[in-house]
Amino acid sequence: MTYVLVWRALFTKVFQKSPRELLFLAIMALGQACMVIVQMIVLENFLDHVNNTDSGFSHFFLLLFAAIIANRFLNGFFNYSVNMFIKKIQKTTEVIFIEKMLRIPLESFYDVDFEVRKSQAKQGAKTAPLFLMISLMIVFFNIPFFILFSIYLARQYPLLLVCTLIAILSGIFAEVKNRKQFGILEDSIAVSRREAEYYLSCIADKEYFKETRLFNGFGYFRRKYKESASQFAVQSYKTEKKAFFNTIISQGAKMLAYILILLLLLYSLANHFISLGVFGAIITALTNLFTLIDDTVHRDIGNLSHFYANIKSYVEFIDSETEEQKSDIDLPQEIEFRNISYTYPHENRAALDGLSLCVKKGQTLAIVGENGSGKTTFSKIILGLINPREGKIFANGHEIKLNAGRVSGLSAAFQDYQRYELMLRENVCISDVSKNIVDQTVHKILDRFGIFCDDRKTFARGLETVLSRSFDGTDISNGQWQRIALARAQYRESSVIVLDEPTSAIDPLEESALYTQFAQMCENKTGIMITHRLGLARVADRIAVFDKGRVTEIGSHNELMTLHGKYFDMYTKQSALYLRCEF
Amino acid sequence: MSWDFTDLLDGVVRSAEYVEDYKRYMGLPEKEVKSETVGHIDTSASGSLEIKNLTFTYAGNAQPTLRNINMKIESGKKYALVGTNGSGKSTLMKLILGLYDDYDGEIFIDGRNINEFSQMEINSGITAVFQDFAHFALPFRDLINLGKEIPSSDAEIIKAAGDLALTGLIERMEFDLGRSLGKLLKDGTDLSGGEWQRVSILNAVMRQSKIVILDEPTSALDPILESSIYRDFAQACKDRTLLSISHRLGSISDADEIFVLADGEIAEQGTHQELMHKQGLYYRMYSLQKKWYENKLA
Repeated sequence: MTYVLVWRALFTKVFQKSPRELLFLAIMALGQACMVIVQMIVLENFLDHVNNTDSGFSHFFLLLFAAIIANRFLNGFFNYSVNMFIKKIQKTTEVIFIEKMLRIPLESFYDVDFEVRKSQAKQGAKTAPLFLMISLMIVFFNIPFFILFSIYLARQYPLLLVCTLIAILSGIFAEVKNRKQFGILEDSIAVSRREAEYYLSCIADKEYFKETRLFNGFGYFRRKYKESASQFAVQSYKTEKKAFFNTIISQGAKMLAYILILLLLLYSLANHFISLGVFGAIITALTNLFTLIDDTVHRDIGNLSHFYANIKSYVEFIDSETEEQKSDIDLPQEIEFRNISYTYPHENRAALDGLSLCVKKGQTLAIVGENGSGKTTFSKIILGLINPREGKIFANGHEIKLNAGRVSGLSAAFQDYQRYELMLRENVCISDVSKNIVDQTVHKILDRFGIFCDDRKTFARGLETVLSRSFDGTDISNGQWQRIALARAQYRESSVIVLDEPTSAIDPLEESALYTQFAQMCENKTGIMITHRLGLARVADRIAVFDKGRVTEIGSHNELMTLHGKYFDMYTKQSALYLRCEF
Repeated sequence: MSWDFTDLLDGVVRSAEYVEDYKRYMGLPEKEVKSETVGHIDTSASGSLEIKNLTFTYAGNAQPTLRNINMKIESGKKYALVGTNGSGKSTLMKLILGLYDDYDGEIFIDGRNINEFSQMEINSGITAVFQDFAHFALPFRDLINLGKEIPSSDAEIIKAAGDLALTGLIERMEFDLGRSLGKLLKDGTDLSGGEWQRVSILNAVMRQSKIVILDEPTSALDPILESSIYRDFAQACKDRTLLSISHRLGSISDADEIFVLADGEIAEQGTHQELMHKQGLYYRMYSLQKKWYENKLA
């Protein structure tokens, strides 16, 4: 994508959502450009008037005074209000980013390249408003100003225009070169920046700090952080140095142009090519112009090129193709999977390898198998979070397209369920935001899973208790979190419910109660449960044994036991833990 | 001009706010660090642990999480700590690891009060595998050698990894321990939940600490691994003191002594047989779990 295309794409995206903010910026900028020229013409007339007559005070003086005040006022107002507009536009660009994120297929998140692009795009969403503002200023202030000024110069003395153009172009030339450098830099440092951020979080984040301290890992992470950060700094320094040389050359050219213009002006004045008024107006405007060139070229275009790489990532990210998530079938009665295969990005080994399985409504199915046999991957396929590379899926007997979110009306509790630092109520209801929240329902569901929100010892504010100490709430135990995750899955309106290792952190008393509840939970639904607890698997109508991405055994507990296969082996080993030492 | 001025003013005001935050952060109360050097292992340490009249209340909570805990842990023996959710097991573990200071009572390691130890000394004397262990996206070798004075050789790591059924992972990494775990870096290898768990256990095994604490280490392991991991671990930690926290009562039933924690107090303690005869909380929990494996489901 070229520079112009990127700009146009960004502009149209933002204009659709915040047209007023952009229009305001453009009009204000154009107004200021005109004001500067008006001030110049008034100054010329004033000086000529003073030069030609003896009285210093006239309506020209008042006019000049008014022009200067108006100019300053406009300028001040603009600078004051621009921050507010930038904030508003930032909200727009970030919302666009978030909306896009929701449409990204889950499998992208397993890809390192995607992570890099995502973090650049996120940075782009932050800088986009400034980028837009600056480019609008250039289009509606700087360019009109240069054009108007050029017309003025050309009418007085064309050679002056030539010198001015040299000054402007030399600056732009250096910046275009610098832009390329920073583009390359941004691509090359993205990885080391992410590393540096990660090492910092290993020292300071809640997730890591316990173990970092326990293992005396602080020194290691500090060293790694320094390595990444200095790599980052070295690369930046190299680029800055190159950019610095480009800048010196362009500054030199501009300086020469400036001296030339001054000489020309003096020469013209001495030979009466121009009046004193014109001389004065041009000299004053020149100071403005050169400050402006400096600002435009070194600050504005500099900023633009600095931001450009991220903005480009942002636009590409927003425009990248994602399939519309439209579900074909709501609340399916039966789902059949035929020859499903799946391999994670950048992995060689297939997680699922020609797997076939059928799940029917009202039935419970337990999935068991060794670590890495593809159980969790399959749950993601069922839920439409990832798409199989090969195979067919049928819902209610109809073949359905293999795209994300192909079936709705499914619910799940994952092994690595999310702990939202939100209120207890929100932590349950987040699974189905389309429902009207009725506290009684939430209460009932939580009660069922052994979370008693009236227990003020744990939940000081009942359903309103925020489940995080960092938001002035309480930290709850893993077991309690797990039960909330189950309540969350239950709350969602669904015909299929998938539970991935639902009781790993729950104590034996609770666990036993939950096993009995499991049947209730799956009443009139398809219940799919992934578990290592074979005692729990026994409760299911059918048990599927996964091995290397395929179903190797399927049937009821008794059927599988008579097979004397993998299931028999696993069950015997686990039950031996309970049955061997009798007293 | 007005641009520069407002800009500067804005900048100053905003940075002043950040400076305040920074000052507040730097002024946070610090824990006394007695020694900055990397902890070295006291070879004479035997790995015994004693807790006397320990009571602990979290800041902001009215009720104590742990009440009057007394435990005597002898070196080289295998212990288990069980109890209901929220009974204080994880808190007790954190106290033993010296992560909290403001408790009542005393904790002794090898007869010395842990107040006298530097954090570094505690860290090298005790190691732990947490239930919510961190998924460090580091090169395998670096993770195992994190904070260690004498790093383990690749051969040692590969051998120990084999004992913990991590051969598959090592093969996927093509025997290059310089490769990263997780997906942070491009050459990183993704691990399953069970593999992460075994890596964290391996990490504990490879540390020479005399006391090892395992907090619910088998929750993501399949039945075949689960049945052997405690034995393998005990084997790898033969002369070390082992304290396991678990909800899988079947897998810790052969511990030398089992402590049962209920509502922040030690409700029962003894061997599996003793506790079963007592017919208390342990008996109830064990029987419930066992029921699911009995021939007829109730």
